[in-house]
Amino acid sequence: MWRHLLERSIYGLLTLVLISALIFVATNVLPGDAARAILGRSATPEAVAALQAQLGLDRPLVAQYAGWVADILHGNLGNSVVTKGPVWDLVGPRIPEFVLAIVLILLLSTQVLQLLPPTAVLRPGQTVLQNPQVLVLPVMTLTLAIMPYLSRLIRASLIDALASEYVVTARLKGLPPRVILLRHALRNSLVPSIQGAALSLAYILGGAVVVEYIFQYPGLGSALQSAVSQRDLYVIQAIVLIFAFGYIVFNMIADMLTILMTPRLRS
Amino acid sequence: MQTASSLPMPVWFSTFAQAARYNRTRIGIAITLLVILLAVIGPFVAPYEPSAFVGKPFLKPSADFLLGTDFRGRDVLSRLLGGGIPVVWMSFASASVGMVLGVTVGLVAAYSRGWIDQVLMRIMDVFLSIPLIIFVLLFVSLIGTGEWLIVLLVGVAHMPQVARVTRGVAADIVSREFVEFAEALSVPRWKILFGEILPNITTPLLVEFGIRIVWSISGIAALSVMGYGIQPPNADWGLMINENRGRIASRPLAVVSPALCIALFAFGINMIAEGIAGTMSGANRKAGGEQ
Repeated sequence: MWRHLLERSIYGLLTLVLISALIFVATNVLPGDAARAILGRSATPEAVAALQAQLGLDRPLVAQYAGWVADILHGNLGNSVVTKGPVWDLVGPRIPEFVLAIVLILLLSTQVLQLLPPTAVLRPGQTVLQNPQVLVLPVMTLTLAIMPYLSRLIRASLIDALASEYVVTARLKGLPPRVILLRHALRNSLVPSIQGAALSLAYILGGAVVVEYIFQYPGLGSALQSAVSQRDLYVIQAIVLIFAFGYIVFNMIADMLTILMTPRLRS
Repeated sequence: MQTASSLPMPVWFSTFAQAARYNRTRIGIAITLLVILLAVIGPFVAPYEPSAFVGKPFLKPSADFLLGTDFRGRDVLSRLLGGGIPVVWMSFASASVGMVLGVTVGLVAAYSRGWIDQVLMRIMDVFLSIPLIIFVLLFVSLIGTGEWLIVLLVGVAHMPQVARVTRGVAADIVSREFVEFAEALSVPRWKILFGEILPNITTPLLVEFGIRIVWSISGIAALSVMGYGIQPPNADWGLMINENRGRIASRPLAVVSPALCIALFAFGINMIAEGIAGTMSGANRKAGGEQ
């Protein structure tokens, strides 16, 4: 089991390194670099070159990438091109709210919906965590978007499980239907939905950008959207990396849960 | 199962004929054709120019303006009729781009096996960890918007999922006797991939194509709502939602009517895909149903 888990962690780490390289190359090789984005289209070539030297953009690409990764590992995501402040100041405070929204979505989509408070508008200076009501509509939107997919997955695997021999045996032993369903059949049919939930995260992360934009929710998604409209490259890099990181970690957790829940892989 | 010499076209056709026996497929075809007709014929029957200012902003529906006017005083019905083409052609085009790229990668991976397979699929996994909309936004922020660019980007974003599905269904086919037979006759590799293996996996790929169109519709509409699609003053369903959502409570038609068209289009395509999936046996169905 430990070998499986270790392999999975190394593989996840490798994916993360590749994805960070991809994001870096995409934002640096393609036309429109940070220096030009800061100075605007009318900047003289000399001014652009000077700023490129200041930002270290004239170094070889590999050196720039190594510097970027080293900065990230030290908790430094660079400075926003637009606000001139550290990217972390812009992105950091939004992460807990963002994670909370995602966790809520996943909880709500796999559990029975409970009565929720009505919506409210945030006053300036207040955080979402003080006003959980504003989460309701955005979260509901994304929940409804992935719930059918997950319920179909669990339906399909539960039908298979209920037709299996151990369920027949449990029935013949005279166990109550509720116990058979929840303790025996459900446990064995959760694996596809765990994988499905992990895959849905890619959709939720993308959907969050749109939903946050529409509901004016102050999350990472709307930050990305405004960074894109202002061509704020370092903010874009940071947020895309955080999204990819979240997706990879979540898929790793899903794979580990699968290993833990499947006796065949556990031994 | 088809024999080695059959061309792709009849296989696609017979799959459609088989799927058309289900009511859900028929309903899906009817709805999809309705939306496409609306989008194609719409511009010719619209009562006004889609971008002409014909009245006061946010007028109630009346005999002159059947669905009212929008935030700039343009006829909502005319914009609805004139704004369907972009999402229709862009979603078909980007799904096709994604299918061509993904099927090629998937077939090469399944046929090569070994390290080529490993490397290709790991690269696909890396692509998969960036959600579609974020992937498109990342590149749009660098290159700028453009219809063809968005089609291409959404297509590339579809590639990893299509490659996964293709590799999954092709893995069983590559070790069949007729493939070995073709190898013994030294048929060129690309001919084995696209002439021998591809015709045997058309049904799951058709389902995947349908799913990809549905995802394209939602992705392209969402990008358009955020302002990265058709630019004003041109008419587009996603753009209409964004322009008029400020008054959704008092004048819902200007937002609801384009949203309904987008939803119907996605629903219709989805029903057709479901119908085609219904023609497959239980074991194959799961392979084509992922996301």
